[in-house]
Amino acid sequence: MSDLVRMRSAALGHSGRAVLTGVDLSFGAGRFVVVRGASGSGKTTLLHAALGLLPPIAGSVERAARVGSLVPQLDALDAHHPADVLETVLSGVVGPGTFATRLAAEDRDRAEALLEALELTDHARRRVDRLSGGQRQRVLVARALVREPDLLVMDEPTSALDERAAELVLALVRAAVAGGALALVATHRDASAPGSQDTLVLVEGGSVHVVEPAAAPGGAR
Amino acid sequence: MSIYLELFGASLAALAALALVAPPVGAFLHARGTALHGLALPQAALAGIAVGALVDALGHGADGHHHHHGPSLASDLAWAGVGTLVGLAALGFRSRVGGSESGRAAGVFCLASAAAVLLPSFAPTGALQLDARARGEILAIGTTDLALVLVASAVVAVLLLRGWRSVLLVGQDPLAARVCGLSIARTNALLNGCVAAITVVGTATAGPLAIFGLLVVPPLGCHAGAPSMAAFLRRSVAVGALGAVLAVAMSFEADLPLGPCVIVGAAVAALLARLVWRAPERLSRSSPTR
Repeated sequence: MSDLVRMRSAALGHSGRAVLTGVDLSFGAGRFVVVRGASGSGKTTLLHAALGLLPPIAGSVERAARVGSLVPQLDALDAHHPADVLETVLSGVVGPGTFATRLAAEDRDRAEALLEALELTDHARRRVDRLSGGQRQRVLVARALVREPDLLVMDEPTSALDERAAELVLALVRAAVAGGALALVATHRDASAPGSQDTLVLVEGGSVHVVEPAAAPGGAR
Repeated sequence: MSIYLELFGASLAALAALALVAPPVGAFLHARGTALHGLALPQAALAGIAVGALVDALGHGADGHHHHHGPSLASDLAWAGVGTLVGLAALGFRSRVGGSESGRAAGVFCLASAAAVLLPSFAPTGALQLDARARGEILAIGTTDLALVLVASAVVAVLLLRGWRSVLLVGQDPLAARVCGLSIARTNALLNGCVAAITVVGTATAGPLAIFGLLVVPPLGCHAGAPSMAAFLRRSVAVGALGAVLAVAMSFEADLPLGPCVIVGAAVAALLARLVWRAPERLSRSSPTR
């Protein structure tokens, strides 16, 4: 399978109740896919299924990605752990399957480079629970990218960001895509509008419509 | 002091080991919002020991013996283990009992407290020993028992040193941890195993009050001022160790039971640590960036 994610006639949902039905899509490496839909339409369900977090109720979901990574919605991060920014980013290199983590020097270098690219270097030793929402969101992006994923799934990654910070994030994501990653980005922000080479996935009414690049609306960047 | 050391050297070494490993385990409980487990589980372990004392007394009563010296430490460890496992199972019964995590922990503490007081009433031979355990009277333990405590402490220390980033990620963001390939159930089981190991050996050797003091107080005193998770863990260890030293001194000088002295010692150490570590932070604090 050359596609990193493939869904065939998939019904997706929770506890046996389908939120999305008849989902047919397949995406390979080096694609930037914008997932659009109203709140509660099933975007997160689709993303979680793509990562293998939700088994399909019916149909099939196949993944060939070697390393998956998730940028969750901002409120997913528990605020009671007094972890600092660098610790939180480096927690992204754990696994798979291993309890013990031995950090390599490259892991730390990569984490520091990401913090610099996201303009967080000055906050590397600050506690995450003492950052603003926008700063925390950038930390989550760095944590996802430090794994060097080939499947990057982002759930509203720019919801708390100002325009400049959103551009920084999207620049990093596009760099990862240029390096061969598949990025699935759920968003409703204009800053994340699909470019001419991007795929648009519309989630509405319990179904999913894929709009390929040639026909995709939205301004090119 | 030398006689004291000769009699209780092994017990003090056990307390030292517990003072180094229990606080970071408690730090994870605190960070996860489950600090009440640090009260409920040692109390459940004590209730287990009470059950053991009852079983032991009933056994000897049936045999017609009237002068035995109560259960051995090995027996206490086994029964503390049973009590702890029952406590852990009760804490995990979310689907059947419902309610909040803290509510279930409070319930376990309530029931275990009742059991720990009521059961010895039916086993007078074990009642004095259990009372001493509950108060945290320092007990003389053998080298084999000490070896068990040291091995348990060493295993917990190695697990925490090697796996703390995984435990952190699972606690901070379980969904992202699953995406990274971590098993949430296995990671939580490892943390619970660490809590159980500390609880069992600690309650059977130093008593539940000392374990309350080491699992709960140092993290409570260090959480707000810790600049990072690693610092939180390190500071909890330092406060726990200092608290244990203060507790032994207090217990020896004033002839007080060790258990409550550990709580008081840890509280004093936590206050001192707060003063020492917060002062530079206050001096250099800049306005928060938003």
